Amino acid sequence: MRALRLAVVILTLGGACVSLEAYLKYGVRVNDRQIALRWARQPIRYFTRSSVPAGLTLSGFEAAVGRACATWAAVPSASVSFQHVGTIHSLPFEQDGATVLGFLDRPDMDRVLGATTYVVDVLTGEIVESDIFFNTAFPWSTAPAGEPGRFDLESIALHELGHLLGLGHSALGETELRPIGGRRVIAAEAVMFPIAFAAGNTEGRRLRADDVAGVTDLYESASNRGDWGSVSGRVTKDGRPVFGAHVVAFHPASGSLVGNFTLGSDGGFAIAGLQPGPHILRVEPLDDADLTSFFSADRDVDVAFAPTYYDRFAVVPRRGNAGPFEIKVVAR
Amino acid sequence: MRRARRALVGLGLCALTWPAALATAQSSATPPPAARIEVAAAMTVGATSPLGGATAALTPNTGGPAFTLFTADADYRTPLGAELRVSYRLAPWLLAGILGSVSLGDIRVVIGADAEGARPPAFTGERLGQASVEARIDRFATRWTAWRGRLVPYGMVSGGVFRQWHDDRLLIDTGSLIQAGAGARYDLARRPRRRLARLGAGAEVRLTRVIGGFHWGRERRTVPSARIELFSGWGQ
Repeated sequence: MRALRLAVVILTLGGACVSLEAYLKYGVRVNDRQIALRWARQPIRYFTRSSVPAGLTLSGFEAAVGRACATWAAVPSASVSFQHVGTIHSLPFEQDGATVLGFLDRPDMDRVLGATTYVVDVLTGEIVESDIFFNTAFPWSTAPAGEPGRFDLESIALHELGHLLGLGHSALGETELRPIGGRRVIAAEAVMFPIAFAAGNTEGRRLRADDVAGVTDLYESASNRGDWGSVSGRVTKDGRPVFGAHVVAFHPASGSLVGNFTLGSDGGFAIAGLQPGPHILRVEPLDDADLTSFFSADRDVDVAFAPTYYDRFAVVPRRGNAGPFEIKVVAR
Repeated sequence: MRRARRALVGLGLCALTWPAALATAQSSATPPPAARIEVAAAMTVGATSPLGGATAALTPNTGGPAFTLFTADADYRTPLGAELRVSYRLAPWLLAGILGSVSLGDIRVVIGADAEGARPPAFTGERLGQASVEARIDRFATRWTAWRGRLVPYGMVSGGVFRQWHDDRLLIDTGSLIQAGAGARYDLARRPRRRLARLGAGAEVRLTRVIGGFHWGRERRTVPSARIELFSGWGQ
């Protein structure tokens, strides 16, 4: 009967993807409640697939994945741990009870570097299995300093492990359309941005404030509990709520940027995991990635408004919430 | 910054030393009545002080230039405040006391360089309150009095700590300050052998060295300010 409670979800990096209701974290709806997907038991035990593409070694692959796991585990405000159980022959995406990270040859997914699947208990939101695949259609590197022309496996693993933990995509990035199709990243400030840096770039190995806020929101460590605050409010246009607006909270004292979306039917947003102190709020339309990287295709995301700042500070209290604030945007 | 610090230290030393050097000549000046306790209330106004700036930046892709989402620069505009001082006269030319002050000013933030050309607002409506407790010393140049000793120039130094809060009463930060300045006081009324021995008014200008508090990168800053006070002297 347990199988009836389980659902499989696929998330990808780099192109067309299927996503759940997006937020800093993913969730399932149980009755009228939205429950965040998360691992209930830790350490998260994972296997690595024994087969690696030519040019890589299994030890190098496992070391790169291990470094990515260690990066998430090192977030002081979150309680996350991983355990590499061993090597396995089974493929990622097989629902076998084992969390597997490995390579698959998927030339048909020519814009997807990697993807993550979940098996979740839809009654509790518990993640019971999650697999990650890396597409051998692309050139990979596990070199400590990266290699020109090859995608850095540690960076991509860090992104996919964020999904494995339950995080959704961040919109903290700027892109441009490529003549050959798809988008190219100009700049990003979140490992969880859905489009990767160029091949050879290793900037994706470092978590940013947005990533830390997300994982802290999901797995806040007991020792850090309450050291963070949040901000909430709503975005309206001509008095009507705006769905899917990207709201960014900037903390000038530290330079950190943390974002989220308006998700409620009232245009409401909430950004958690913020450092206490004054923040500047900026709202922009979600026009720097495919909308389906964040929301399911049936959602009516409003992108027809001009970027706007809230005209006051949002002073985030320690252990408290600032707001609610109403940010009024105008059509463009 | 170093020059400002030197000037500040120099002004403080000057305020402390010149009356002492003149003490030998005091016998020829008209000393003010020796009211032992002084209670004063004052109004203060500070100059606009820059608090620094911050850049909301994204990490650029390979080969790309630094990417600025927007910039934000802040200053603290003309805080108005009130002070209450209680001092004890250690000598005819020396007062030592404590003071408490509260002030309120506007934080103005100017947004610029928005990557998508968003209409930049100026956050002018944000209020920042500050309360401070300081120890203060006043030394009077009794040799340079005028109007039959009623007008007396003086130098002052003070130092203490402060707390700041946002207008919705959320504590933002704490810090310390050192002030040095000079001014003049005028005795409006002298009442020898009465409990309320003196009434007067004064004005001074000063430099305030602020360390900490609300800032975006300028943790240490020097701010000029001015002050007018009404004082009363009690006891003989």
